[in-house]
Amino acid sequence: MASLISILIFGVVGVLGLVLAIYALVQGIRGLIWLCEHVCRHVFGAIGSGLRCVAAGIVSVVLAVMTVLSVAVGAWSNARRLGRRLQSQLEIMLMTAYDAVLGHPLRLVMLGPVADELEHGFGPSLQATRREMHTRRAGRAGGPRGAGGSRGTASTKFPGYRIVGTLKGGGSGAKLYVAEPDAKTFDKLASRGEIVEGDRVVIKCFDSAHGVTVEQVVRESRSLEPARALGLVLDHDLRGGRFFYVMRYVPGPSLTELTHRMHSDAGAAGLRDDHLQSAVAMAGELLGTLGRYHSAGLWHKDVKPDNIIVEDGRAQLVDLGLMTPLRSAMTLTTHGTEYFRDPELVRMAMRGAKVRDVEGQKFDLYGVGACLYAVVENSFPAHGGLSSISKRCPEALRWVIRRAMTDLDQRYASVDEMLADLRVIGAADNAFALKPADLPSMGGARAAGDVFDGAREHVRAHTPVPSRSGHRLSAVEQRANARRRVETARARACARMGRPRQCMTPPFAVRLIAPVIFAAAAAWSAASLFYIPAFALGVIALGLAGAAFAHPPQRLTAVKSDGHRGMGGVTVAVVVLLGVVALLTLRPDARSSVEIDEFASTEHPLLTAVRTSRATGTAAVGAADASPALNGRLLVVDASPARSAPDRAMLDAGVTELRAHGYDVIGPRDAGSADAVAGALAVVGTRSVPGEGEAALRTWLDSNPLGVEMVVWDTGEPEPVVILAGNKPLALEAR
Amino acid sequence: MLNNLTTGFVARLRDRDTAAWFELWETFGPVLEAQLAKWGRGRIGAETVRDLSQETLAALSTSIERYDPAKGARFSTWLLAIAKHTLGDEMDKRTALKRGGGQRGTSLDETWMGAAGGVQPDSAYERAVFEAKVLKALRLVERDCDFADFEVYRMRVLEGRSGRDVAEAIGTSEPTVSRRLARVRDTLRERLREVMLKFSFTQDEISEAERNGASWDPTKAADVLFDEAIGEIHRALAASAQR
Repeated sequence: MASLISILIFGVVGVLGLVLAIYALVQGIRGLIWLCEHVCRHVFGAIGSGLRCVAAGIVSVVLAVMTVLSVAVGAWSNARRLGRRLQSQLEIMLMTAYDAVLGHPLRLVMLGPVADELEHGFGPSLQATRREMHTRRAGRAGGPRGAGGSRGTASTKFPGYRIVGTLKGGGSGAKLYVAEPDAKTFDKLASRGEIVEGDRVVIKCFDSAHGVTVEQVVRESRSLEPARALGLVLDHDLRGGRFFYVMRYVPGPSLTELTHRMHSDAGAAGLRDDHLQSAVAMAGELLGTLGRYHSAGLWHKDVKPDNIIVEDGRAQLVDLGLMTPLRSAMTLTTHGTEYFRDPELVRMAMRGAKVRDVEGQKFDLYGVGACLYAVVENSFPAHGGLSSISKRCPEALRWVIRRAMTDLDQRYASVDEMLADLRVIGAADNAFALKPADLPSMGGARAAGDVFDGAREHVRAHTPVPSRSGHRLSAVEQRANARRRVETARARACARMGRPRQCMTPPFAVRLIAPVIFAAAAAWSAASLFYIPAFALGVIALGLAGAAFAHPPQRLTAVKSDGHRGMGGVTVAVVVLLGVVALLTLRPDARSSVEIDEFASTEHPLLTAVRTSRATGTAAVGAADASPALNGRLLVVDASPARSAPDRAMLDAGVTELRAHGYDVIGPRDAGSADAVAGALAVVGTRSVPGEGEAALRTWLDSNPLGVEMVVWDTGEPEPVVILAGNKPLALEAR
Repeated sequence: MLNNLTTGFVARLRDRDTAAWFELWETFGPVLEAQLAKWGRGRIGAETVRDLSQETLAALSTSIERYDPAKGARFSTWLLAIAKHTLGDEMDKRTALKRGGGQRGTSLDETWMGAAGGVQPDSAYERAVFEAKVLKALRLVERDCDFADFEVYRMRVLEGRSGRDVAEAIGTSEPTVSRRLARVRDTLRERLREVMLKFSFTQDEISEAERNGASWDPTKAADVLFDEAIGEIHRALAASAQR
């Protein structure tokens, strides 16, 4: 029995021991794995940080050079941008150096708290850089996003804008931010008349990190060009898997909110007369806006109360997410909002119709009719065109709503037709007395003038305008706002009318003029008469051109424009570099050095041969200066009898230049040079065949009847000329 | 008892004809939404119900294979079964999005559906399906008729206004109003017949219009009675939309 108990105890102890041993082994292996991971992480981390530090250093050097170059050519904005990138790179270099030298080694030897304490002492800028570096690394590694939405924080930075709030996003997956432009961006937008002091903007951002697909981005971007022309889109950018565009922020309640407010004021029976007039006026505004879109070839495609913001009594249509060019060759999609989208559109889409084959503007009119229905009924049109209007509403307005929402073929054909009907209702003293037969579409008379003014005032008076601080604006502020908006509207109108002179922005003008100045300067420089001022003018022109490239006109084709903007700095640098090289190449000194080379291949010690009269003066000066022994007279020979008057004048100018350098010169038209010219003429025909002429010239030069120490021989020939055949090079210095 | 229109339509549904599915959704979507909202009250929000779009319905066309109308089921019951699958699939999708959090897919026989009335159609549901058919016929008439003609019918019949009122409103005479009214009525009878035949599996469903005074056979229902019946149905529809 005892032995049995002993066996049992031993067995239990053995099993327990085995379990403990296995547990200890597993823990030991796990510890070993952890240790390996720890060592690898920090060793490889240190190596990686070191490599990144080197890379950041190289990039910093390149950026520093480009920054200096930008400063040199006066491209200040580009220099600022490069400077910011340089600062960022330097911070990255600093951080990676710290990680390589201290951060990872300290953590490797279990001194993480010390490293944490050190990092805690970094400034906010370095902390931000560090967070961004870690976020990027996590993103590249496909790991989880940083806690607290750090990735989101990184992705919500928009160059030129400061985020001040967010808006509720729609169904597209995009995020909406309210932002304020910085000074530079404001100047850019204000110069185009798109915003005024105090305006905010809305940034609609599609980020692949938030699950947005390329198709969505393409869909959003396809109407940017015309939307830009209409002043609806102020700016846009596409980079790093993120696409965003900027619109003016329209503060105010949506039509949905306003409708609820009006109905709660009016009671269950329906809207009061003044409310109805306001509704008609807002519909009129909406149609005016849609008319502009349609004229510009655009189809909004998502007209609904939530997308209509009432600002200063005016209905503003927002959300361009579904905006589509009317002539698009794309296949129609069913996108839109149920109850505010004509079911016929869905049927057409399912048949595979192309956008250009449907009358998109009529679908927008359906949306306007549905919006009017929603305002009148305080509900959505559940049964489309057959929805009953049970609330108080003039007969004529019911007719308009139904006509807008009826079958596609029988609907209003255009914005103007519907607007004409609404104007009659707006102009009526008693809209309830109007019959459908009184409407222009039914043969009634049209209304004259802007009939919505009164109603607009009513909406304005009853619409709370949210201020920045959230309180209602005072009357003075509202008047100031109104003035501002009038100015904005004028500036926009000015921009729409083809940018007349007063609207032309300096960069645009500079862009136009700078190449002309550069070309003129290059020609002038090539003429060699006033090289230094020409060179200076060329450099200034290049600087201006660089500045103009730094502010390119906004193009709204997303990818193209992004490429253009992305290459801006490089383009400026390349243009400036090429320009400087071109100017230096055209430098007359360089030309004279070529001529001197040719001269070096001539044989007679007295002779300098030059090709054209343009370089005679400077070539001779160069040759003369290179000859330390030359103190006596120079003879300039004009060997071309058929020289034109301007060329002759240049040759004379060369002689004048030589004299200005203190040389005793006998010019081609001076007394005593006639013999030399005669001698030269005899040689011209012999330059390629050594013979009599050559011998005569040599004799003439040997006898040196004019007592000159150098003969500058302007052949007037475009090709290199060796007057005296022979292969013995002349060493001027030895003379 | 299936007629050619019905079998043709069901065949289109089985062939994954998205236009047919959209037509089904456009006609009966609101009825299904109301039923789904009733089932899901307290469990699924109005947004979820609204998200059950025609695309979702079309994508679920596989479920139609399991139902054979020839077995005697009513169209309304068949529709309800589709609705049930639609909701079940939607809930599955939503659960799948959250998968990893320990949630399982929704069973088609969730007890809460049964608790909310099960899949058996009640009289309110049957009435709603019938009204949806009449509305569909009216839609077709709106498309087929001249706008002014249909407006005359709308004002006179659907809104119950007098002939003189209507004539004054559109600036015409009462005889003209009567002529236009007759034109639209004739078209409506024809369209109502088509719709009832297309969306009915049983004789009982087909005769529903006649039982409600809206027979498409002019010898069986006088014009006035027909108009009254249509007007009443339309007002009921408007009242349900208000709710």
